[in-house]
Amino acid sequence: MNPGSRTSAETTDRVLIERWQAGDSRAATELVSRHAEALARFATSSGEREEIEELVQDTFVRAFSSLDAFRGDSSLRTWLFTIERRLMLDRRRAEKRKRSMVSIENADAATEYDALDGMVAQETAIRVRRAVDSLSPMQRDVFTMRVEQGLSYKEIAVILDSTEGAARVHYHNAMRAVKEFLDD
Amino acid sequence: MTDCVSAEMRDALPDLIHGRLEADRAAEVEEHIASCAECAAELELLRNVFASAPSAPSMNVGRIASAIPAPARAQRSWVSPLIRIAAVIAVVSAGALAINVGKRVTQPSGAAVTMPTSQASQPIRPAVSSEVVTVRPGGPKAEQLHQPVKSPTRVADVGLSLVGEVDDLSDERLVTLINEMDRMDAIPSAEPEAISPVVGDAKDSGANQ
Repeated sequence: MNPGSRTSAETTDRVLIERWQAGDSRAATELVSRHAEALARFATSSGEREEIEELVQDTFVRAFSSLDAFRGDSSLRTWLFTIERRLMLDRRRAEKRKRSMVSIENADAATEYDALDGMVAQETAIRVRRAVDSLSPMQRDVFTMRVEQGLSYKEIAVILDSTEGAARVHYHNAMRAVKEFLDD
Repeated sequence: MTDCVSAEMRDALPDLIHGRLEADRAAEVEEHIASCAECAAELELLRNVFASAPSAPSMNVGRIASAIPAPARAQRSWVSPLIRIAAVIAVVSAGALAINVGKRVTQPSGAAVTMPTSQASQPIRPAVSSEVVTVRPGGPKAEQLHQPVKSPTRVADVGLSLVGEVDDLSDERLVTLINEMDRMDAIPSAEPEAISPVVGDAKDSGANQ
């Protein structure tokens, strides 16, 4: 999404929020439609595999229940990611031993690579996925937010309740770790 | 795999993949990649990471949206009219109370206390409060309904008075006032009330004859 489209999207979000606050329930549906898939991808990138829709739904319910607290300093999507990440952390704490991290050999994951050309490409993807999975939770979160979601360091800092500098350090440390894993 | 010395260019690589760079900046980065093997390798790695990202399940937008509560303002939309109606009733009631309180008029002891209305010949009945003196001019044995006037109170003419005299009353007097008002008619009757006989008059009359 280029910078011009981002500004337009933020304006649309703001208009939809105002319409919903005025009582237009269709505006809520439109906002869900605009951001649900991104939230689902974010959750999946962060390692979540089960009850993704429930997680996304909880995120929206929390967000709309506290919309007055949304100051607009960041984009709505960034704010939604922030809420979702907190919910995921709660999940991890509550189900630390039960959460299943799906490995790359899993059949569901294998179907993702049906579109890739050649066994080499598929094997590369498998190795890359293993490298990302080997990162620490913080490094994995920052790395996937930056690379898979395309979030800026500023947005990542907001989601992590940290600083841009810290986000940048985590990203480059993660990149170094991934390269070392692949070089082995 | 070694790293490019330009952290700025390395930081721009994910933005290039996601199309977040302005056109001129994107061109600058691509020109750098063309001459930097490290950045080219890193860009390839990033594209593999992006391509290998696990796909997310599709979301049921309608089901998710149905769980979202209605906004607080919309929830209050049917309540606020009721609150307004209740507030109006409370204000009108308070106004009626104040009007009745404002109609107290006191004069020095010994004079009939009358209301400054068309019922000027009527003694004030009942006493609005212990501050009001109801006295019948007459002989020494005239029955007097007399409540000691603690202080001469000059009361404003009829008008709303939610502050002032009412606020000065103690809780006990306020309760008395309210009880008296409960027995009052909101609008004084236009009909003259029967004159109550005074106990002392008959004896005097009989003695003088």
